[in-house]
Amino acid sequence: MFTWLSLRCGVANLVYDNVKLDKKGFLFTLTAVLFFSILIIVSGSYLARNNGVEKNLASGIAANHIKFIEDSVVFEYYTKILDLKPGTIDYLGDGQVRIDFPNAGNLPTLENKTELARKYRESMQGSFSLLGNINVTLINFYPNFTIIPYQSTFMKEGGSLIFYNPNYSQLKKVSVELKVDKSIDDVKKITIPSDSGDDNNPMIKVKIRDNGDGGKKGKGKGEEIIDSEVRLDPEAKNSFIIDFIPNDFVRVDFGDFNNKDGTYIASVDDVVANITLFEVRYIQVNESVKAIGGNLSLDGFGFKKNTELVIAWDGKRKKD
Amino acid sequence: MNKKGMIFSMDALAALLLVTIISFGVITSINLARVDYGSVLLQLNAVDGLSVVREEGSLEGFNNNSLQGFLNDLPVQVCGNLSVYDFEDKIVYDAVKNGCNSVGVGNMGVARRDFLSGNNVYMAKLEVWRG
Repeated sequence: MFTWLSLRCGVANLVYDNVKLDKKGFLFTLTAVLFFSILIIVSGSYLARNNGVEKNLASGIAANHIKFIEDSVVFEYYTKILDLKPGTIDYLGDGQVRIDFPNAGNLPTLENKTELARKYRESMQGSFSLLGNINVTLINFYPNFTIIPYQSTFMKEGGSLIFYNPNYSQLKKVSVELKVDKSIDDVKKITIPSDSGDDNNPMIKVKIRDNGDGGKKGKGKGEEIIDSEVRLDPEAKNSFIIDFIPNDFVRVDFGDFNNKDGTYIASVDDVVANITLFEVRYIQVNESVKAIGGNLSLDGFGFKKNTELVIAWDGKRKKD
Repeated sequence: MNKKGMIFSMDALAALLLVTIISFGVITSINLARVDYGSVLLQLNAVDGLSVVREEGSLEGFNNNSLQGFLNDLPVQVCGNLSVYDFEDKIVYDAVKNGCNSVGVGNMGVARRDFLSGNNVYMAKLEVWRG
């Protein structure tokens, strides 16, 4: 700008010398140039500011849309595909961590959720991505989740609730309470495994109530069919079995099942069981505890995001 | 012809030309991303609306009363069209707010959401526009 002004002043002086204009004209031109320069600078900065606001708005809308997609995936995964929602992760203060599942739902649940998860993943990565002009990728998207750092994998499918514990030495206790749609009068046989007598083995607690309104705990609780709490060897086959007439049953297995030690399976056959309580306790370790179910990657609207599907997290961990 | 006037006009023209060139340079150097505020609100309406019908459960059960009620409860000046497609992209549900044309005109807000119902995957699409 200064270069230009100098140049222009030189030309103007030349012209003025030739026509012998008085200096008022030169001053007028200089004022006009300065005025317009200021005008241009002010307009430019206004436009830049306005443009900045609009860019921020555009980026806010894009962020909102990304969040909407992320929330919708988490919602379907959490409520439909898993159907087993971890609630709180508590540090009990006696060297144990407790994870409860306040919305564990019913058994049986949907059959073949693996196929359902596959179809959902295919739809999100296919037509949804295409029509929404965004690349959605679901990685390790299966109807199960893993509790970190214990590496326990939980899933519900068909008539079974299963969780695998490769590190079963860290497992302290598993409690389940079921309310079944059968009467205590229909019970044919009850099998309860014997206590291993080893304090290092996890405690397995099973409580099953019938469909009635009776019971000591008040209305709607149902009559207790069994209430058992025993220590079981994770490397042996241990089963609680309640047989109903004619050939229906509820069973809870723990130990060497599905070719894996430390496996826990609660299953039903021709019985509907509401899981009124389900909680798991582990030995506390010096790591944050969380439940992870795969990864979600979003790429579009100027954003690239890769996030873990965190089902539960201990939040701010209590000090030991 | 008055020589002074001629010089003065030329000087003014030169200054104007220079101002125009500089203005053009300044404006084009800024990448203008114009945002239509009306469209923004419509887009937010579509996203929020789809979240509501999904999470309160009426979308999952294809509850016509509830879905039509939701569309009819949109703000007076806003029209909406809710469509649901199955896994094969066949339309299985379609409803328009009462009193609105079935095809939106002008700026529209569009949101899509995949959801599960039973053992099936569906895609819901909500379009909203000013009626």
